[in-house]
Amino acid sequence: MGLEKEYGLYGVNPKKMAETVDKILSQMRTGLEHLAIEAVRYRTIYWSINGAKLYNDTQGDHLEYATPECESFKDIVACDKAGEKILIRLVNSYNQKEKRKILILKNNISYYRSNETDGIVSGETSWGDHECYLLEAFENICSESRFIDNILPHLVTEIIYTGAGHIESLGDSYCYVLSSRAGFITKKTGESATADRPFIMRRYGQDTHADYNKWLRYQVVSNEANMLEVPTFLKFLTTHLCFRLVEEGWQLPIDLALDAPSQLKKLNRDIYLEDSLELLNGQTKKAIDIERVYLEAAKTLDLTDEERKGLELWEWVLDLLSCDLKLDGNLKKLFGVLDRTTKWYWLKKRMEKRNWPLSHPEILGMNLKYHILSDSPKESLWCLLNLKDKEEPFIYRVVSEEEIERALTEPPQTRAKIRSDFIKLACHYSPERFKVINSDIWSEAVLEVKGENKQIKIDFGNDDPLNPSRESFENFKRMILENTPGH
Amino acid sequence: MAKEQKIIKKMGTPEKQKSTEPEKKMRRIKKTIDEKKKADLDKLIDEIDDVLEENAEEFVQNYVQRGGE
Repeated sequence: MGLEKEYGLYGVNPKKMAETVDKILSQMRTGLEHLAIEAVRYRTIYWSINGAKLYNDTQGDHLEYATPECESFKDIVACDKAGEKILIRLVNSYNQKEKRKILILKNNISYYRSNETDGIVSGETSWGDHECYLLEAFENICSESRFIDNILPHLVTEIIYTGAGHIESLGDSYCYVLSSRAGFITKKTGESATADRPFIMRRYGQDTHADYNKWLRYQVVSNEANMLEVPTFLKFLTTHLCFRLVEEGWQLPIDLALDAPSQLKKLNRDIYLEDSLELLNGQTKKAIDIERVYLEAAKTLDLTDEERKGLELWEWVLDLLSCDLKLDGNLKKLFGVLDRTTKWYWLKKRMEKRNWPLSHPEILGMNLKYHILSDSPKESLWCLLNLKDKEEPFIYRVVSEEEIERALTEPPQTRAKIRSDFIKLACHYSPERFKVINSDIWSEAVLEVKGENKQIKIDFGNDDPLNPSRESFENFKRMILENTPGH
Repeated sequence: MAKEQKIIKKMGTPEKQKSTEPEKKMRRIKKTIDEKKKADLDKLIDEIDDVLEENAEEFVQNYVQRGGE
């Protein structure tokens, strides 16, 4: 599993966005000492020693961070949080050097967008937060369309806890919704997420980042970025358990089938979860009850320790969401647990105190400012909340500060570990002798030997990403060390 | 055999595995969730409001992005 996240930048002229993102990324090179991060550079892509990829996303010029491959849900959270820290340091370093005041936002929407000709247009625009899953080919279990249909109701209903909350523009009015992404999801599946976005998409060929005859890579693109750890943890855990169910032959009860895009939009506006979704058989069912169908089915699986604990967390969150959320007492219980309830309680209290409507510019601004990543408490709610949390904890965490710090430099014990070892070796011994010529070194690195018409391929686990062999890397390492005087 | 025992000792059996710090903390927070601390949440929000800068209107207009993915 892995998470690819595009970030927004505040304070940048849209015409200079791509150039600015490049300069921010280049701090990876210049700030090695104080960042404690080394990277192999290729165009505007950097690979960090924690196994992650940092890059300038060509579609929309977003600063993007992709976590290394993880097998544990805690690792996903730790690597995602480590990414936030890395980006804050890069932007701080850039601001200091260039005397700028750029801010980074971990969200998926802006009220204003710049178009191809760089005119600024009023109207919401969205960018991505992609959950990546690598699955063993399942053609012998069921067809792809059946596979997708089995998990679609979950992808609709999970926004009740994965949503980060958003004040949606309705033209001349506004309403608070569960997720900023729901309005942009128009179909079940697809092969691209740049327009007409699907819930889930399969990546083919080289984009599988593994032997595509044996492995399938799917991206869930219907969720948005989270500031809190619980929703990030849950979105991976629950979808993973749904995948496991289908892999083990479980079938969604036929009467739960629904028209996913329209029901997602309907659910999105139901912030207190009072309405029911319309099913294809003409009946109705509450989103929370659909989640419980998956939850109860997942209880029958042979679970690992982490899956079992995660399932308890899932159930606990559903129980809290089952309460009447119009009551402040119940909403408060989800403060520091889920983003969409935390943001809503904060905005609600602010509106009540100042007697402001939802459309008040300050409230619209707070809706965005909730997502600022910064180490200044004046700029960032999250920096402030973290400081307050240290005095008396109220934020629900799934990883410790030490685990996040570790994830800045140490990769998870997956094939990312081989890549990380390669990056360290390449940084220390080989930059003058080799050039990495492939840009995506998820599964392998292709090196060109300088001065010779020769290429070397180092495999990080293309054939078997779950049980990668270190042989190819160890051979390369031996060759490097043998040819390095003094080693 | 001795080596195997050593490895088992190092890894610990699932039953004997101790809870990690975040898990303990999570339980501690869950326990206190209904207690007095949540009553202090409104005070916390007031304190936060006093610190954060108010320039939201300008902020919304200057946060201009292109669609991505």
